Amino acid sequence: MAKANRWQMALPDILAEQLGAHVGAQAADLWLAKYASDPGPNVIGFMREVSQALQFDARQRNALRTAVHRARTGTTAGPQTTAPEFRAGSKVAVALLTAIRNKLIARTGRPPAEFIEDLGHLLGGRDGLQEMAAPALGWIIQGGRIPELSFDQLTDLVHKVYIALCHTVGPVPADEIFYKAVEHAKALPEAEQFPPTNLIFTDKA
Amino acid sequence: MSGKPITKLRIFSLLTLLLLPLHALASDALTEPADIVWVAVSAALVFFMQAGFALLEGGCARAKNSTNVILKNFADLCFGVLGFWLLGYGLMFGSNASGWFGTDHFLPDSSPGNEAVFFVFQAMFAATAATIVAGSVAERMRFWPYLIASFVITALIYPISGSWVWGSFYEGSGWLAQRGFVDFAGSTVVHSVGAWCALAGVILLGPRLGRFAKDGTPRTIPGHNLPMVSLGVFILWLGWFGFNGGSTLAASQDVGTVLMNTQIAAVLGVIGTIMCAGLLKRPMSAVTILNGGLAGLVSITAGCSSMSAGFAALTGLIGGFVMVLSGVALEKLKIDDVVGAIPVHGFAGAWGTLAAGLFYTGDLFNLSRVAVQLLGIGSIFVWAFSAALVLFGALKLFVGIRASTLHEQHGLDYTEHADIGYPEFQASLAPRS
Repeated sequence: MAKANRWQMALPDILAEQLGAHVGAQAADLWLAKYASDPGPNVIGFMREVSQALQFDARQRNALRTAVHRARTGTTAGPQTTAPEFRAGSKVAVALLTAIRNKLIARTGRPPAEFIEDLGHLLGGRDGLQEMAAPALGWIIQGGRIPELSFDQLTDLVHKVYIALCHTVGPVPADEIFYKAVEHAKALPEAEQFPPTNLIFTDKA
Repeated sequence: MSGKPITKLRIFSLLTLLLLPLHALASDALTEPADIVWVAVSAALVFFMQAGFALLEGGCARAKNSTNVILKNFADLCFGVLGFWLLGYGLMFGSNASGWFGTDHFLPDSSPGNEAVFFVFQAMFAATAATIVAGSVAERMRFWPYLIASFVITALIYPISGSWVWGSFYEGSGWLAQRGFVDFAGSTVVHSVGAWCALAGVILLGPRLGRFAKDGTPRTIPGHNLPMVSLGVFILWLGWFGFNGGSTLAASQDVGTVLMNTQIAAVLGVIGTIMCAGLLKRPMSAVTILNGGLAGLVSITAGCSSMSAGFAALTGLIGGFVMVLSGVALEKLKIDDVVGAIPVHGFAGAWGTLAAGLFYTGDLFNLSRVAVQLLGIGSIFVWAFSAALVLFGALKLFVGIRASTLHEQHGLDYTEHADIGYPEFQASLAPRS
């Protein structure tokens, strides 16, 4: 507990080093307000929230991840992209997306055209997946092997699928579909390390 | 150089004068002990309406946003009363020589007691106007901008139009009051002002994620707790006896007239809503029927002291129709009002204010009176709506009012307050990494 407290309290300073004084201070405020007092804080939730709230680009996201890694390990090096929690999170995200896709293709063999159109629009937007947008959309349409996406990209994809579902079928069925997908993803062993509710939230989950 | 300290001294003296209580100018109202007790009890009843709003609006929201909505209700009471104390009371009830706003009695003192009890009663009204907004903008408006908006509504928007109608407690009179505008307890002054502010807010916010299909078809997003909604409406109904009854500012026989008309109109508001929904072949959902009671109550608020029971019934009945029809119209315009506050408080309030002119006892259907009522309804709409558009527009530009889609997905309970309304039934949003 004492060790956890140390790194949690050290993080704001490291955030300022990695992200610059102004942006680092904003990230630190969020950390201190919502996450630091938790003995086992949701680090990934924090990184997602701060990235979206401050509209981080890829470089800033990497700096944020490095800051968290440095604080937790006490080292000056950046994180390995294969860190266990990210690997587990990626597997859970893929399982979640697969379950959602299976639900969408259950009736006609392919997702509804309106959903594809909307998702394509979202993925191709300014804060979309850029060069990975087309492969990700292709996988949603055709299935097969999911393209190599980073953890950040997968979490973005999950959220954009949610938005597209809200637009297409409405928020209540979207929550229902996500709820069932969470139940499916919970069966994974990795869900112990990275619960699927880290990626989404529904009232029933 | 030597002029600067003198100028500062003058400004200081002017401010001191503005802030000093002006007992000599105080109204003769509320001098009898029974009157003071009645208004104090009424203030408590109107305060309790905040609990009603919290339950109604919290229940109409999804579970993931319920705490946020309830906290907005709670916090807007605090910010609203503060704004009203600092500025609003003086603007609304201070000496009103121009007819447009009051110019003294800012930051009123708690003595003399009769003025203090009047302040408490009126502060609850101001908070009511502010809290109407919370239900409309629920589930997607950020917490801090909402609080800033509440402060500005009770400090500026609500009291300025209020002074046009009620600004004669100390000296002078509002320009609408001088023309004979009737709004006894605030169908327009309180309820419509809150609703027009809400309308500006929801237009600038936009609808919740997925609320309307691409072709404009509205999608229902059910609230999470209908018993909460029902209890909220019961509490509001109870509070209305203080809202309308206390507006007599006297423990007199007039209270009976006001309370009876209030009760009759509320009942007929429900019946009108059921009839209208039936005629339109729309589902008689719980929220619609419960809102019908509120529409009847809002409708009669303007004319509850100046019409007979029969006309009170008609006012409430038509109020139910107005609420349902305006709700349908707003949906067609893709305006997302989570609790239906704009039809209930805005449109039913406008109708009630018109009815107060149409059905005025001893002067029925007097067209010149009706014209004054229309002038008041229109001018207060223009003021409140445009001022709120500027307010929410500025907040949108400089602070940001809309929660991100990620926050909307997760729910504002967690993203705004690091809290969950129902931890036993909802998944923890802070799982261990």
